[in-house]
Amino acid sequence: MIKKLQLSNLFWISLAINYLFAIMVVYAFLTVPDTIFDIENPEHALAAFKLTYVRAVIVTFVLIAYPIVLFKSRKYITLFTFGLTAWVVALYIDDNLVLYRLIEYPSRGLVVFLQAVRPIVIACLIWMSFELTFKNYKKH
Amino acid sequence: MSDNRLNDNEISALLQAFDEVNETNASSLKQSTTFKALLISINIYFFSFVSIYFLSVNGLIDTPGQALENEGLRSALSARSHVIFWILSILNISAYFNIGFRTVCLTMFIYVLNTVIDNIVLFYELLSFEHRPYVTSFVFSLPLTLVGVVWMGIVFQNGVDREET
Repeated sequence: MIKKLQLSNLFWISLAINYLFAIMVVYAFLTVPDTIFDIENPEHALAAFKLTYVRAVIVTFVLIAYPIVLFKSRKYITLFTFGLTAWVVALYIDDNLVLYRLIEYPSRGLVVFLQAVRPIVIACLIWMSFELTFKNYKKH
Repeated sequence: MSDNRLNDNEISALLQAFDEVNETNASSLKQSTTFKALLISINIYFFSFVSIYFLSVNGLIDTPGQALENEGLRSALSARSHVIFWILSILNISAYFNIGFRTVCLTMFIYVLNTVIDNIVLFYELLSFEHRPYVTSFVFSLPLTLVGVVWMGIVFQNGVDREET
């Protein structure tokens, strides 16, 4: 079934990295300690918490929907992956350029790690989008 | 050494050969009226809000209410106006040259949708037509542009579509 999709090993590695990242994001959100609001600006932490809540819901939906669309339709998975890449890039731009004065993520080890590896996740998604768009696909 | 320069006849033949390519690329002129109306409306919509923001933030016009008194709201609006300016520029260029227009439309749709969600989550308590009419009208009218962007992507005719019809 996987061979039928005619995708490279790099695609599957990228997909695995993205899944691992998304699961860690959901895990980090579900195990938030009560002490995250004990900072100088608790309003900023609350804003980050509310935003992450909405994003975690969307990420959970994507985790479930992605394999279904991947095995169903090549055309729609290309669109879906491109849309997902655009969304992740938009989030990265928002967090670093637009909302940096309004939100503050907790300085917990896992959250710091997830923030640091975000560019790698974006690179993986860009690779997946390119491969799905430009790689020739022969229908059997 | 051989003389490999082209003469006038050969140069004009080359130029004529590429005339057709130029005509295909500059396809925005052959779009439907609906598409043109949507593109112009979206440009006017974002351009007017961005202009009002920059004029009021620099003290050139008075914005009613406490529109830009909140520092967080002001910084978010400032950064978003820069991002939307670049997306809008790329959208217009891709529409004119007929390169990846639907891809840019999808990117714009995702960005605006993300903005709508962020605005509702972060600024909902600050929104009020009485105190911040400029910001509130912008936030509440933004979902309409989502419909406009999707509609524009649907009615856009690229070169391949036209050849098939």
